[in-house]
Amino acid sequence: MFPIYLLEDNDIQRQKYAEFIKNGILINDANLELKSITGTVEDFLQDYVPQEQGLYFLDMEIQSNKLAGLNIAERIRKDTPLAQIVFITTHDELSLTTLERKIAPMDYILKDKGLDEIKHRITDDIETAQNNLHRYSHSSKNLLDYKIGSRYFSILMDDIIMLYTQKDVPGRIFIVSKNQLAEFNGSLNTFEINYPSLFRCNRSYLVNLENATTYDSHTRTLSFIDESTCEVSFRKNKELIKLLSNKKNV
Amino acid sequence: MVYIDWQLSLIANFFLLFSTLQLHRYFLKSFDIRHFLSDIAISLVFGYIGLFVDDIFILLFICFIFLASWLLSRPHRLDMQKSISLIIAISAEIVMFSFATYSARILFFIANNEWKLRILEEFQQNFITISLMINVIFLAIFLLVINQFRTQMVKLWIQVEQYHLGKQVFEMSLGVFLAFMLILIISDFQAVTATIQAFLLLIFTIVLVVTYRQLIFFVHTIAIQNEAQEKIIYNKQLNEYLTTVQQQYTDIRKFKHDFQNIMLSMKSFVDNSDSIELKNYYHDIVNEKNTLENINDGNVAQLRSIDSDAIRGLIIQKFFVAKSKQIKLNLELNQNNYHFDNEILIIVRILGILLDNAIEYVQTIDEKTVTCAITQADNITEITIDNPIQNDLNFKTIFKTGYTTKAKHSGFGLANIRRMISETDNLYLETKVIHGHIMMTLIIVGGD
Repeated sequence: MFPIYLLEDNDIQRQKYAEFIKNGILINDANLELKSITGTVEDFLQDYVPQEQGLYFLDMEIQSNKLAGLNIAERIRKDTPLAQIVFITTHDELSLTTLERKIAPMDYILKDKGLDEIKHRITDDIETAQNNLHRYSHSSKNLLDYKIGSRYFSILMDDIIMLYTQKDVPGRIFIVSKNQLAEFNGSLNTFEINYPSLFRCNRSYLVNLENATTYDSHTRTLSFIDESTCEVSFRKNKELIKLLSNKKNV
Repeated sequence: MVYIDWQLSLIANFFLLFSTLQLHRYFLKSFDIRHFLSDIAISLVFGYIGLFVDDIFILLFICFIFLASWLLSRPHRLDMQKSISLIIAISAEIVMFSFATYSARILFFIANNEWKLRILEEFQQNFITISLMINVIFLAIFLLVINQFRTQMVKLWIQVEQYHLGKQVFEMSLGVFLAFMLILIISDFQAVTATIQAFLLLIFTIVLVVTYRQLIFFVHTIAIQNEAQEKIIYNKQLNEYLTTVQQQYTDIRKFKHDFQNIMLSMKSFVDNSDSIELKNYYHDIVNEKNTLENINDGNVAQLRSIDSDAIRGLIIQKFFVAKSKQIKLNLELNQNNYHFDNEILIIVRILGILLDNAIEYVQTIDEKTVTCAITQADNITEITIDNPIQNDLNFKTIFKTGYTTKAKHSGFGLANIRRMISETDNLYLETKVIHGHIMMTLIIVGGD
């Protein structure tokens, strides 16, 4: 049973949303419960249990503190990287791009769209959160973490396609995921050790076989869902064939 | 010394002056029949004077033209553009004339296989004709070359005028020209041998070329310096303007926020009420909301919080470029102060490319908005450029250049950005496609 938190400072709106959430749980037959309904940051923090996987509905501006919702979301993200966060807010309070960079929330619900739309979105979000939380609880390493300067970044393991290095930019790792391309400083060896599910197919490529589509053992070319390819070194050829046939049998 | 018949001398002098004037007209693009006739008359008169006073006639000729244009203008002053053009024309023509004469000499010596001046006197008619023909060829080549640089010359002149450098340029070119004349006249008086004079001319030509190059450089430098100064003043004024706009914007935003919340809270009461009048009134007010939506335009004022003139200037410039194309450039700068001090030039270049790409792309789709968000914390700055993308835009094609080493697809200018990032150690680029948007983030480490 995962908890749902609701933080909204307007009494009437809060009452409405709570109603919608309870409704959504019933409709989706979700393994979730509305654990906390609060109107101030202090009350929220009293109910809040760090590192608890859950679904959070947050208003952005709480009692004329424009950034209250954002600050709480940042804290939740830090404690529980995979927490499901949804903002319910008015349009101009929203710096969408900044939010996306800082929090990467699951959804934004705009108050301006009217109560029916809000109800609809809350129901949908409960369904998505239910699926995500269920998925994450099965595996222990769900995220790949990397660091730029003093900041940590993470990408869902399921989304990762490959990590690679380039000769002309030594010491830099490029990471390709289903919807993202990023870079940071590091060494592939460290990642090979820390993330054993990734496969080192040659000196400069570490790939996620879960996202591989085909392998041509003659040309030793491994293809991925995004149509990118990578050459497998002669030494790793046999190991890869074995891994792939095991995977097929499972 | 070669003694040449007076008619031939007259022709040579006339040619020298006349072609100078035509070159001058060409520089100014002012050909017409009245000028043409007066050019012939002046060239004839001074060509005739030249028979008695050797090379001094060139100096007299120039002085006469300056004097005439000074007297004809009201109030009396020299037109810098015309004067400079004339000085350049006469310097170029004397150089070409002299080299044409020397080339003709050498041709004649080789043809007769005898290195004596007597030959030139003997064949003086042919000699003068040939040297004038060579001069015409030089002129043609000169014009062809000049034509290639016409636009640059026009730009240069605009800069000279803009920054009032006419006087300096005139003095410099006049100085070189007078020194040149002095050498010619003295070598005439002293009856220096042709070989020495040829070398003097050659060296002088080199000095001439170098001087003019230096002159161009000087004008460019002054221009850059002035532009920088203007920018500082402009930025200062803009800052003051932004401060006032920011204040007004904050007030309106506050009102708008309260208004929206009140309206939303009222809705359930209105829904539960039986009064049709109240419901209609409520709807009228809700429809008014569209006017409030435009308030966001004021957010260019947020740029005041960026302390780098270059970065702020770039975003302001792109803001107005976008506006002129009916594209909305949203700014998300929620902090009071953004500090930049490292790699500013590279950041400006990368940001410029990212914004240009985004602006160019949204022109092709319906949702014409681009967002620029900056966050700065813990010694890390992130600048994100975000724009909506259409479903048919393939995520893979955007990234293709990113992770294949071949840069086939350059539509996003990413290859350039990659190169610039590789040159530094503290820049990182991240691209993400999410919720139907593409977000390109430049991460800068350090300099906080």
